[in-house]
Amino acid sequence: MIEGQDIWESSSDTVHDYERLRRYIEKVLQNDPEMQDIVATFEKGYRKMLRSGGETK
Amino acid sequence: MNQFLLQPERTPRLLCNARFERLDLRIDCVSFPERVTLHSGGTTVPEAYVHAIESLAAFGRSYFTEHQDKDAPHRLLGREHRSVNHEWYHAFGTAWSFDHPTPEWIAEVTESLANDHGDEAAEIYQAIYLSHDFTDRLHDSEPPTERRLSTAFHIFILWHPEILEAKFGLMSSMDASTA
Repeated sequence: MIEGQDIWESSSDTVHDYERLRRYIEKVLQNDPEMQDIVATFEKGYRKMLRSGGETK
Repeated sequence: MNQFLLQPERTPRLLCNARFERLDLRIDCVSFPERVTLHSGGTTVPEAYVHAIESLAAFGRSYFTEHQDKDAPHRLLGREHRSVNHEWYHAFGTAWSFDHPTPEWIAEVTESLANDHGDEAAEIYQAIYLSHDFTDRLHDSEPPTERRLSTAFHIFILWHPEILEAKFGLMSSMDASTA
């Protein structure tokens, strides 16, 4: 069984779908500190962009 | 040890074949001058959750279970898992290309599926049969380190409902504080 699969259930609701996918990936990342660091790097760049008045569009 | 210098022009992009349009997401304002050091070689294929994130962005549904089922043979076959369940992947170069990802007859097939089996079945066809294989082909040319960066970028996007809303019109009812 894929790790975290036990918390996954099909959902017809987008928000629930989002939350369950997020929970699954959070669980995967617990065993992947390198990936956590890379995501944190994106976060850092994003925060920097927001502080400088940039937009996501 | 692999080292990868992220430059603005090399920002990983999330590419979705959504509703027969190539959706090119690029956060142009985000630049990453930091040097990122990758110690692992990464995976040889995109993770199932990467496909799920793309489906969520493109269709409003992740179809994660369906993506996992499609790639389930990977546990036994490794990269060769695409010998099964990946017909569209193998049709690359004959039925489709990156310049022409969706032949006109695809629209007819989709409409037929919707009429016979409902809208969700037609959407699953697009997400699992077409877009999944499109993404696999797209990542074939990437070295593992770049694929790791792409995976991280997908996760980053998922962490930010406000981006999903701005770029894909999703999560309008979701509080951005969820991120």
